[in-house]
Amino acid sequence: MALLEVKDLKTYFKTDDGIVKAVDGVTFSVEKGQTLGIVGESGCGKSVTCLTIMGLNAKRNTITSGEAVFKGNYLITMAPRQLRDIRGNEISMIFQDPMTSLNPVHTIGRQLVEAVLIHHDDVTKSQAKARALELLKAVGIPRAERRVDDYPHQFSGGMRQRVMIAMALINNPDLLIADEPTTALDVTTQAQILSLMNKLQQDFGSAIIMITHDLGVVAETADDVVVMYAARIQEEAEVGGVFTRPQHPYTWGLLGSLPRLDQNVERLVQIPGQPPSLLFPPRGCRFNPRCPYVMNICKEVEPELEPAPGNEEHRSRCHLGQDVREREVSKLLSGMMAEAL
Amino acid sequence: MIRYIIRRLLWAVVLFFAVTIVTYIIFFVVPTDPAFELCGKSCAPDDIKRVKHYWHLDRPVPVQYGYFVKRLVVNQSLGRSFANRQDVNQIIAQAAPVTASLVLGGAILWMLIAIPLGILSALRPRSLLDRTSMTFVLIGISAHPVWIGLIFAFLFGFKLGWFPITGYCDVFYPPSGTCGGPVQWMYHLVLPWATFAILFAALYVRMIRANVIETMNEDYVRTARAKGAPEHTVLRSHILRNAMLPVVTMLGMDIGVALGGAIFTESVYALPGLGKRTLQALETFDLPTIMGVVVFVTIVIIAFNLIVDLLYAWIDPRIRLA
Repeated sequence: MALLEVKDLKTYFKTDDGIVKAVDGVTFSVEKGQTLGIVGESGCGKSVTCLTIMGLNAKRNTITSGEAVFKGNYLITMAPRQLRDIRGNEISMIFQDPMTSLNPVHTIGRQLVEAVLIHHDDVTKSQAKARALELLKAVGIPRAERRVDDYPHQFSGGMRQRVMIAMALINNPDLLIADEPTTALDVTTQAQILSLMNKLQQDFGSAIIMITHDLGVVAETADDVVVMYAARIQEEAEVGGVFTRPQHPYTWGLLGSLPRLDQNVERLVQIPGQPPSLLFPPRGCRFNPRCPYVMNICKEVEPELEPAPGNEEHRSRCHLGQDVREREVSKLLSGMMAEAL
Repeated sequence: MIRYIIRRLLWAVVLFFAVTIVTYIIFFVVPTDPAFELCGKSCAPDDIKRVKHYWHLDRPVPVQYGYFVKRLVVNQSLGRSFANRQDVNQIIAQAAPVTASLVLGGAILWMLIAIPLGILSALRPRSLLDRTSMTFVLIGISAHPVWIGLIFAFLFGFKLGWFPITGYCDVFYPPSGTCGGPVQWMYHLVLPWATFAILFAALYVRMIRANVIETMNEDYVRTARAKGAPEHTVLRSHILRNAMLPVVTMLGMDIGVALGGAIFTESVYALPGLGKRTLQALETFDLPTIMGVVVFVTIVIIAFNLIVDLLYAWIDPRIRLA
């Protein structure tokens, strides 16, 4: 039994224009102590998936169905009070923008202590504060004893994200959901935060869901990868599979659009077109309007998630024949290998 | 901090001169002879001349202004009223507590209405409560205080007879033969407070509602929920703590505006406050009294703004005065 099993999760938002199907039947699981990367463009539903698991979508105008089972608890149908006990305690979350994710009028220490006290009635304030200090040191805040009484605006973006990580880990969660934790940070800080998270995962043993649009982040952190496009999973595999035998044209597009060190180009390669509106998703395969390999069947029938030959765990949603895929992958990879060599 | 206060006080002096000079100029631009008005209809030209000389009205305007400043700085005196030679300091001292009772009591009342109504409307947008309170807001903003005052006086004072229509009772030391004491004081002020508070209550309901709605969507509120904080903690410690910050600033600034608004309410309910005194002074071209009110109100507004700035630095850790 996996730590978290998400089955056919759907999140629809009622808007004035109609129903936006932000997450439309997503299934995946996270093993204890493992890292799952969820990759996709902005608006593909990766963040909403996780907010739904956490029960953090606004109740109003949201329709949720499907299952998310965490250690035997059915998170979607749970009473809010019980879900609150899990939230921040057994599952915690780090958000994209550290500049706005901390309350500006409370000290860092107070916000960390709050996270402890909410879930532990038997812990005193000074014990909680000691724990807060311990975590601030663990995430590498210099002079933590003094900085614990500082306010968020006295910290840089990278330091604030470290504080957010400390807050997320303070109750030793089994699962940490990181929603683009490095997107708002500059590249050197990104690397520090990622290596910090890798190290803390070993120390704390938490499983991580790493939401990102950055394949570099996935390569560095994830064990398994889910590629989402237009509210659906298009491909899933262990991390090596995605980079060495990608099966879906969208994944090829993502890999192809990575900047290359060996080529001097005017313009980066891009996937043409815009992500589809989730109010009116395209018929058939959702990627068909932008897919360079589109066939007639793609516009009519949405393919199922099917395993790649010889690998049950590597599944993708595409009508393309295996021969075409292999040819394209080897073309794509030969370009990338050239870079590696 | 000390430097900041000193700088603010120096600015206050500049502001004081600007306000009083402008008031002087406006007074003398009005095409009438104050001495003629003061002396009365049966005055001979010689009498008018004597009156003019007595009040220094025959001197150039800058010299008159100089007299005014000298009197104020050297004797701390605002002079004597043109109309009845009463000491203006005393006029202000009698009228200010009335206006203060009206404005401060009104401010408490409008916050008592606005805070719960604004928060509840924000928590349940588009609900029946929200729509009702927004209707109240629209009426409160649109209706003139004089009209509201007259309607209240007619309805609750005259028709139902619940509250007195006019008059003021001193809370501490009523002159003998008049009503007084806290109960009578409040009893006589209920209608004025209600009249006075409605406009501001409406403005504040709308502002608090908007602030709370905006703050509810902040990332740090989501963080608080992600921590597993119960809703009442999220509301109190994370939403309201932030949403109320701008309200403090607004309140400090609006106390000044409210002093002006008090004129209407005082007229309707015949309260002997600063607003009523100003109206009387304007009718009789009583420059010293007008100047007295202007000086007093200027000082009050400057003081309130300073207090609000200091208070703000205390409640919002991001603000440091320097």
